[in-house]
Amino acid sequence: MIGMREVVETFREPVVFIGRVAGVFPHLFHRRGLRRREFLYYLDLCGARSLPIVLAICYLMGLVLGFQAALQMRKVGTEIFVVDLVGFSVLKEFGPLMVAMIATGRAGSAFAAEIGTMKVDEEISALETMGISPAAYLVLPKMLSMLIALPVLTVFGDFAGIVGGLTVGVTVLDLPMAAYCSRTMEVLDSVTFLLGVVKSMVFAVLITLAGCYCGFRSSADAQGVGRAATSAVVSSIFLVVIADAVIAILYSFIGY
Amino acid sequence: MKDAGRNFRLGLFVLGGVVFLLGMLFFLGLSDAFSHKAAVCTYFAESVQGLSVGSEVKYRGVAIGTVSKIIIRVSDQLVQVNMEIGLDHFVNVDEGGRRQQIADFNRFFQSELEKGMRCRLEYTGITGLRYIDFDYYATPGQALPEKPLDDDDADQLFIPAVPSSFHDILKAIGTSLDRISRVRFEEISDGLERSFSELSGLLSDPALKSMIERVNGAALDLQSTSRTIAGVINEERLERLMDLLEADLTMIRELGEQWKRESREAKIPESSAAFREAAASLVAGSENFGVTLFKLNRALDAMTELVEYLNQDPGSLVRGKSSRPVAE
Repeated sequence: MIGMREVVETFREPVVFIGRVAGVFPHLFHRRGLRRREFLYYLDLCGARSLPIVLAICYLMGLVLGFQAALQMRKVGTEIFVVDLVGFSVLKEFGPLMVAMIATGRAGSAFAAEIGTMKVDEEISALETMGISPAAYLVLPKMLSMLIALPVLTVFGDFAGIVGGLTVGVTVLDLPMAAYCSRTMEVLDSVTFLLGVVKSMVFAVLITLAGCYCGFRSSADAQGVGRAATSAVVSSIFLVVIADAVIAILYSFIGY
Repeated sequence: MKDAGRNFRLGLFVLGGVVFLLGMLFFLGLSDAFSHKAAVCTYFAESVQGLSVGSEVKYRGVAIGTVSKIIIRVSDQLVQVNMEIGLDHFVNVDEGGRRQQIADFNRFFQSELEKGMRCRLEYTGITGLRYIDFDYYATPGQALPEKPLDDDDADQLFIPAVPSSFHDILKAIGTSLDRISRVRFEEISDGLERSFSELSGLLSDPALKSMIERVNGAALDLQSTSRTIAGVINEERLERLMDLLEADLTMIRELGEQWKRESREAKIPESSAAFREAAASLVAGSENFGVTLFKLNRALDAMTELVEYLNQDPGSLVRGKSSRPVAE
């Protein structure tokens, strides 16, 4: 039987963690506030190394979307609207979402496992003993690298998704490439594209926070690290989907 | 060395991301910021359902711009639609500065307006979305409608709008329904009911019934007669009758020809001239006869007078006629 105290504690802990991370953000503006080496490492891990899989998955996503749309729209002779469907779906939803899912699998679990292992080795306690804030030392480089990597990956993912739709349009629907590109330019606008990129920044924050939080909360044994990694992935996906829904509603208020 | 490789990879990743970001921004509309546009506006009195900011504007099927603003004028309930026309869609309006391009564009559209160009709402396929189409919907030289008053965008080129085909159809249906609603169905129904009731009364009249029975009897008689005729006059007999009739007609024709021939041979003109002369001499004879009869009549009168005189005075036959009158 879970008591009221545990329930309150369950919700209190993440809020405290967010507060702790927010409290160390001014460290970024100190001369030695950001560990440059770690920042580049995570940028490489979450960004550059994720690029091939992001391109492949987003291209295939655009391909599948275009193909399914083509099957239905061909029935009513509106093949050209495949461009609209693929373009808007990729830019507004699937681009940022698929990138976030890949980042969750690659970075979120890695963050949780890394911090969990440090906890097992009592490195976290050692940092605290030395007066170093674990949030500033461990979370900030990850957060900053994710805030850069995810939008860049989303840009690549959007491009790959549109190219996937273009492949279907040109090969399956026999649409001229110029007509497909012209229609894409006609129906999509830069604001839609930028809103998707902004969305990916929100996802970056959520994935980093969930991964690091699960790492910090892991029990000090090997099994605990495994559970923390799993929990980080599940929590990240859940939070990303919830945030996506909320952002979609917010965007609808401004007409997008 | 390891760091150098990683940094190169990161550099490519970030630079690639920035390049793609700028490329996508440019591809998806940022290029519009660098193109020259002309502003035109129109006013619709009908519903603009399906038209939105960003909807296409076409000139005879060619996409030349987009709708930039849709507002409702509270003064006259007209829907004002502002449009941005890309000047790069017009070949000869692409030289000189922006001011010159707009002047050329305005001149071109003014001449088009004089030729009957107007704008109209059209549907984009079955989606319900609409676009504005510029085409020659009015007759050339037709007077341009005046631009609505108190217009804030006075410098914009005004393109008069014509009702859409859908609006025309709705209007026609509305007019038809209005006319149908004016038909007095109750009066027609009452009239029909009255007519039917009178017809029913007429049909139940005994005189009509007896007449119908008589007509029926006559029809039966006619039927039996025709049956009898059909029994008596068969095809063979009818053919024979027809042969006889034909032979008779041939004879009549021959008789007629013979009569014509004989009448030609009878010298009727000469005979009639002699007859006319005889008649004239007869008329003269009758006139002479009339004179003779008149004279005879006078002689008889004199004779009668003599006889009466002698009757009154027979002695005068001996002694002659006395001087005094006999009757006195």
